[in-house]
Amino acid sequence: MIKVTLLRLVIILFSLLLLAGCGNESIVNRIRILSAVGFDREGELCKGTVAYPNYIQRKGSLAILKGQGKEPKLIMDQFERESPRKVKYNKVNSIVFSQAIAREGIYTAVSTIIRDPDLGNTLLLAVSSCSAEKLIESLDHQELENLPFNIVKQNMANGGVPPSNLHLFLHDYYSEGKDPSMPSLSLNEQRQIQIHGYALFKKDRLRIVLNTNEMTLFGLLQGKKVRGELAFNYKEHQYVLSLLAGRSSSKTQMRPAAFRYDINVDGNIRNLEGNRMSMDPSEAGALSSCIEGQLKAQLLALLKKIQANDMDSLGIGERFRSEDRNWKASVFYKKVYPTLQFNVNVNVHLKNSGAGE
Amino acid sequence: MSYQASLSKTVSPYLLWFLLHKSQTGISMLNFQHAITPGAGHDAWISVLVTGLSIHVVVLLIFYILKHASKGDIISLHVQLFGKWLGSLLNGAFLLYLLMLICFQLISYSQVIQTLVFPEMKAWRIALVFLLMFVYIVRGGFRVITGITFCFVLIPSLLIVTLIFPLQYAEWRNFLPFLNHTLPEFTYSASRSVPLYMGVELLLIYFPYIRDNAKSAKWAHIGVLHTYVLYLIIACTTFAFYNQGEIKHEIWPTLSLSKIISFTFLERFDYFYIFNWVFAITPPCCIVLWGCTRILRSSTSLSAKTSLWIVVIVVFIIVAWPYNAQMMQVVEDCIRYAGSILLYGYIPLLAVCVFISNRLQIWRAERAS
Repeated sequence: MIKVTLLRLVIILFSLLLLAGCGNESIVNRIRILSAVGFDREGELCKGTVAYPNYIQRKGSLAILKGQGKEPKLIMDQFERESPRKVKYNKVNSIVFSQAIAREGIYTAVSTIIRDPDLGNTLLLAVSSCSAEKLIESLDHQELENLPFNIVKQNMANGGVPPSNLHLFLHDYYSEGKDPSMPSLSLNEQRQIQIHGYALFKKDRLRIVLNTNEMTLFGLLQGKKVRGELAFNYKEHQYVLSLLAGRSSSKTQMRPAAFRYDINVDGNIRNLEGNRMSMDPSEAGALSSCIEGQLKAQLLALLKKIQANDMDSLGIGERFRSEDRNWKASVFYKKVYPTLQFNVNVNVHLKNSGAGE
Repeated sequence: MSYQASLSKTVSPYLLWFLLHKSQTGISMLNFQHAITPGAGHDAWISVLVTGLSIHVVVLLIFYILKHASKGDIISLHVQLFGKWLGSLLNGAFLLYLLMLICFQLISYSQVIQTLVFPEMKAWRIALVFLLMFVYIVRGGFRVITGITFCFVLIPSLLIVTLIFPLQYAEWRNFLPFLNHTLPEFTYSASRSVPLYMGVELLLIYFPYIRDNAKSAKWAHIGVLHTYVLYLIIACTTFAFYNQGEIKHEIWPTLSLSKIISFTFLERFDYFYIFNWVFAITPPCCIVLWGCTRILRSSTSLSAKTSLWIVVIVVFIIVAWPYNAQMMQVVEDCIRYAGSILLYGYIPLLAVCVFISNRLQIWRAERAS
């Protein structure tokens, strides 16, 4: 009896040892785990630049790898051939395209990315205004924290950047009545990565890049989250409205086709001259109606700009699709959308102008 | 009064809820959204619901059939209705169907593992690990299988909570305009959602092992209800998260849903999801293996142990075969047709046969008296 138990124990131990030896070993700080990838076009080839945290020589600060190839997979292969350690791309969280690639269409690259189960759905897609190579190279010797993903994530949570990730890009791309969009990055004079605008796409091709002010307004129209700073003029003075909270609702009208936005925002004014309101509370009404007028004009201009570029980045087609039982994308974008009438109603509630007079 | 096995081998009637529910949920849950959307598009969840409701009728029929079986299961009923030869042949066909069911589960799951997690892993290694576990459970007998089933309902149910993450991205307008499809489109989606409910026919085999089985219909219907409510939750979450164009490009939408979940301490939650499906496929596979063993044992002179190993070896050989995508499609279609014919063709036919043979018996008794 004891013999049998002993035999079993030996077999179990032996198989444990065997199994432990079978694994495909990857110890995190002994392999190169790519974090940010940038793609550039160079003639026929695609140029890839990646940043990875180097845990052995640099205590975790970022290092750069470069490669060329016709396909993202072939570039990966080249990284592998350049590297003394195993290269893994499971943790890539930022993918940056140069404007040249973005204008030609990024679907071929994106379709490679989505089919790969190693990549998550929350990763950041972005366009770079300079070459993607320069942008990623600027990360050399920097900390892991400075990745574009973290910069955009912080601004999506607290600043005026509309929510954007791979899932949202695909959702918009495959949607019949919406066009995708993503943040646009650039380098400032200190060679630091910054968000300099918001790129709007027609299907998978880049059309226009909104500036930061328009980006905040774009987020306001999306209605999901209202945050950011907007500049105004009142009686020849400059004011900055900090958006605190807000709600934007929209409504379709079928015949004649029109689209209305109702926007309610709460904000405060804390910059210089902002105390005009606390000095003279009667002026608050005039100030907010002046802001409303300017905001409305800016929003309408933005909507017209998107419409004139033949894009539907706000998903107006999707709204019509969900309400019109006989909606057809081809008919809508040929006949209805180019002449669609926009109406914008804005209500601004100025909450305070800071704690001092 | 229907037949019941000896008391020490039976399980409480309320466990029928978990047995029936868990024998339905399996690998089809991973990709049914992809299969049903070419029909009714964003309205396809209605087809899932309607198919689920039709299973209530199937369960009613199964209860009616089994009430008149001498040993309370389909194996004895076949012999009783159609004689020894034809009855054994039909039992053989049922055995083949069960083999197909378990092989399909294992082949699909090993493909999921190979595609998403371990590309280098061979199918036979996955099959070996799983089949040894199944043998271990099935050797314990029906009560052990039931116990496992009960636990394996509870553990993956915790995953439903994580659907909150994809729902943060929910676009409820995806469901509009409501009912914008034609009847043939709904029928297409309904026919594609049949594999979701396959497994309910296993009741035909384990019915004698339920205590007070004639009165346990209530629990069976609760089990069916549980199944389609679960499918509806998953289908609606998927349709809110993905639009129709996107679902066409997702092979396993249920798994892809989990790709959006990420915690600071666990960046990729989807691996957790994939391996949680072990809990989903183990109970149906165990019940099927146990059913195969019972059919072999009662139709031949083999012992339970030998017949279990025979079945396992056959399954292992089929699963270890290297399949390509085209063959998988054929296997999937075969399983779907076989299941549809069994649920909506053969079981009603069997009920009619039972009804006629009953009438004949009554008529004969009347003539004799």
